Amino acid sequence: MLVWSDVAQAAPDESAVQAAFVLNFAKFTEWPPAGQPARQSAMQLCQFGVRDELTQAFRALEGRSLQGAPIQWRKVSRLDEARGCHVLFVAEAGLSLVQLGGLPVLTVSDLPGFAQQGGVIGLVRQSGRLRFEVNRGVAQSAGLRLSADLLSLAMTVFDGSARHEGTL
Amino acid sequence: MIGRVLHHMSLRTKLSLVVIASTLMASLLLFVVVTLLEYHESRHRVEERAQGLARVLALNVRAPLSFEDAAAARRVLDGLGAVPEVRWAALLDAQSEVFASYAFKAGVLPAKLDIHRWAVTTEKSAAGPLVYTAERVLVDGAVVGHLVLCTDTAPAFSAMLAEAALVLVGAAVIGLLASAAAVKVQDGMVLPIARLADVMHEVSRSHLYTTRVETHRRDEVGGLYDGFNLLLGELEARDVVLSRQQARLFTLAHTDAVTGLSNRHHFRLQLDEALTRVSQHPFAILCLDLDRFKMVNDALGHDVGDLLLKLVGQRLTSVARQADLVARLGGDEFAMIVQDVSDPLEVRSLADRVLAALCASVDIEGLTVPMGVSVGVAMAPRDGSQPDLLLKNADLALYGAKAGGRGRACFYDIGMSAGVVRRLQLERALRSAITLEQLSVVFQPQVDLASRAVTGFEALVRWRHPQLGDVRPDEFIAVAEDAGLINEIGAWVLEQACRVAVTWAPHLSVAVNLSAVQVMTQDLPLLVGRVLAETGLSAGRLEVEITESVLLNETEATLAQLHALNRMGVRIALDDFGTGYSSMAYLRRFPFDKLKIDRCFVKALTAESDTRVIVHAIIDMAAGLRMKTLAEGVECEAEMAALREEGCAEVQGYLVSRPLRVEAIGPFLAEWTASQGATAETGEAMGVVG
Repeated sequence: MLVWSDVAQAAPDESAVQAAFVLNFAKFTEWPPAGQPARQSAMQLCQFGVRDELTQAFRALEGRSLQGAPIQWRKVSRLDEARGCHVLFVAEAGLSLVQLGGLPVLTVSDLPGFAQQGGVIGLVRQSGRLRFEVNRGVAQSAGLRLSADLLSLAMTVFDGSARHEGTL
Repeated sequence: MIGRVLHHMSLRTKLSLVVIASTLMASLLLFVVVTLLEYHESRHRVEERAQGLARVLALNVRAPLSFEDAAAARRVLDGLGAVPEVRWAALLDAQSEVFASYAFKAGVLPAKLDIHRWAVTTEKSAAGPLVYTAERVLVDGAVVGHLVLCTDTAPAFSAMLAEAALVLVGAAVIGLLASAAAVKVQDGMVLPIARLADVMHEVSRSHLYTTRVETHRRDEVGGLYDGFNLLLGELEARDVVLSRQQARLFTLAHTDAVTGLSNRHHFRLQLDEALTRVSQHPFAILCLDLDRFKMVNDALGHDVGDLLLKLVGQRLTSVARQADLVARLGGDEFAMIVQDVSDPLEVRSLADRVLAALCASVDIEGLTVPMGVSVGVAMAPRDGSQPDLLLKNADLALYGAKAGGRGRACFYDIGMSAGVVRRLQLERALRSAITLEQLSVVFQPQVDLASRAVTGFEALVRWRHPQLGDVRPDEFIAVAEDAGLINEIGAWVLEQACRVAVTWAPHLSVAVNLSAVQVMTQDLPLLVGRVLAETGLSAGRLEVEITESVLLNETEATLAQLHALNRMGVRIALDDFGTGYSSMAYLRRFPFDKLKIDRCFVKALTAESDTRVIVHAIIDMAAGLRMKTLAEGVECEAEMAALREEGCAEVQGYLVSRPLRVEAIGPFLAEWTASQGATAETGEAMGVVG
C-alpha cells in the first residue's frame, strides 16, 4: 500500500508510474508451474539497459511480496542473463528477444512497437495517460497466462505467434 | 359490557362470530408470520445478491483500478444498470478516494463521508430499506481498493408485500368459505334447537300438550326431538288426568249429591256472575221451599225424602228454560235463576208453572206423598243488585208466600219487609230453640167448679229468646206450623208435660195441645204411646186438646188418629169451642171427652145476656152428648159464679192461677188446698149436684 501510494504520489515521475505498472502486470500474470516465483526464492525483476530513475523505482519495490515471493531486482546486460527472470523491463534498444525463446519471461518496455516486435507488453503514453499494448501470442508461447482483465485494458492485443528475430 | 352483549346474542350468532373471528385471526397470523419471514428472507436475499454482485464487481474492477483506468472501471460499474435495485456503487482506491462510481438513473452519490464509513467498516449494514455492501478489491492478496454497493430492499420488499397480501386475501377467502361452511353446519344444529325453543314457548303459552315436533334426523338433534315429544306425551297424559280430576272436583264442589242440581256454592257463583251483567241482562231469582218436607222426611224416612227431592229437581228442571239455573240450596230449599227477564208477568207465569208442576201428591215407593211448594221471587236489579240483598228479598217473598198460605208464589215488595223479617227471624231462632233449651213448659191449673179441687193442669209452651225476649205462643206456634217445626215442638212439649205429670198425685191429669198440623201429619198414636211408655204416665191421666180447625179439614185419617188415641184411653178435648166454624155436625161424629168454652164467651158472660144463653146452650148440649165442659180465661168471681149457675164443670184462668212453672206447682197445690179447705165440703156438694 505504501509503495502504491508512493507511486501515486510520484505520478509525475514517469519511472515510478512505469514501475507501478510493471508490478501490476506481474500481478495479473500467471507463470508456468516451473517458473512460478513462489517455487523459487524470489520474484526476479530484471532490467536491461541503463535508466537510473527506473532502477531507483524498481529498487524501491525490492523486498515487497509479489505472488508470495519477495521482489528481487537485478540488472541484465545480456540476454542469457535473463534466464530466471520473471519480469524483464527493456529500457534500451539493442536486445534480440528471440533468444529468450520459450522462457517464461514477462517482457515489458516503453520502446515504441515493443509488443508488436516480440515483446509481451508495451507501454504507450496516450493523451497524457500511460497505457499498454499486449502480444498474447508471445505470452502464450512463453507459457505465460495473462489475466483477461489485463487483456481487456490493453489498447491493442497482438496475436504474434512467437518471439521472432529482430533487434529492438 | 362485552359479556352482556354476548349474553344476549343467539347461540347461532355467537358460534358464527367465533368461527369468523378465529379464521380471520388465523389469516392475520399467517399473514404476519409470512410477512415477517418473507421480510427477513427477502432482505437476506437482497443482501446476498448485493454481496455476490459486489464480489463479482470487485474482481472485474481489479485491473482497471490497478492500471488507473477509470473509464474501464466505470464501464464495469455501468453494467449495474441491469440491476435496478442497486441505487449506487462506488469504487474507492487505496486512499479511499472515489475512483469510479455509478448511480441508478443518473442519481447522485451520497456524501463522501457516508461512503468512507462503509469502506472502512467493510461490513454490510441492514439499517432501513437500504443495504450497504462493501467488498475489498484484492490484487495478489493485497487490498487495492473497495467497492461499495448500496442496494434498495424496497422493490423486493414491496414485491414480497404484494405476495403476502395475496396470501392474506387467499387466507381470508378460505376463512370466509370455512365460516360459511361452519355456519351451514351450525344451522343444521342451532336452527332445530331454536325451532324446539319456539315450540316450547308456544306450548307453555297455549297449553296444547298434543303438539308434537317432527324430524327425520337420527342424530343428536333427532334424539332431542324424540325426548321432547316423549316429555310432551307425558305432559299430555298428566294434563288429561288433571283435567278429569279438576272436572270431578268442580262437579263435587258445584253439584248437589242428592238431586244432581247445582249446589248453593255454584248458585252463588252464578248469581254473582249474573249480577255483573245485570244492566244488560236483568233476571229474576226464585226461592222455593217444599211444604211439609220435614214431615215427609220424618214420617216416611230419608230415602223417600231424597226421592222426593230428586223428583222436585226433575220437575223444576223441566219447567226451567235452557239458560236458567236450578239449584238445591240445602234441605228443602231450592232456587232458580231465570235469565233475561224484566217483565214480572213473565216471571209470574213461570212461577205458576212451577207451582202447577209441584202441587199434586206423588207416589213414591207405593206411598202417597203430599207435595207442595212456596215460591218467593225477587227481580234483579229492581229488588237489589247485591247477591245477599237479592237472596234476602227473595227469602222475604218466600215467607210472604208461606204467610199468605202455602202453595203460592209471592213477589218481593218493599212493604213486606217488617212483618216477614220478624217471621223469618222467629223461624230461624225457633229452629234451634229446643236444642238451646229456650223453650219451657208451664202449667195452668184446672179446677172443678163443684168441689173447687184441682183436677189437673194444661201444659202451655213458652219461649224466651235471648234477643227477641218472650215470644207470644200464638205467634211462634204459627211460625212453627209454617216452618214444619210444630211436630218436633209438639212432641217435645208432650214429653215434658208427661214427664212432669207423672210426679204428681195420681188424680191429677195433664192436658197437652196438639196442633192441627200435628194431627194431620204425625202418627199420633205412635208418638203418644211412645211418650207414655217412656215417662210411665198412664193414658187416663193424659188429655189432648185439638182445635176446631182440625175437624174442618177432617179426613178419614184424622178421625182414625183420634179414635186410636181414644182407644188408648187418652181423653180428647175440643179447644176454643165456639170460635170456629160452629158446625155441630162433627160433634156427632167424634166422641170428645171435653169441650173447652173459649174465653171470649167467658168475658162476655156477665155483660151480655145473649152470651149467657149461648153458654147455657153449649153446656146443655155437652151434657146431652156426655161431654164435660171447661171454661177458659176465668178472671173474676162473678164469672165463676155465673158458670157455676149454668152448670159448667171446670174452670181455668187467672182467678185460680196463672200458668205455673214446674217448681211452683207443689207450693200452689198446698196453698190452694189450704185456702179451699173451708169450702171443700160445699164444693163437693156442688159437684155432686152438677
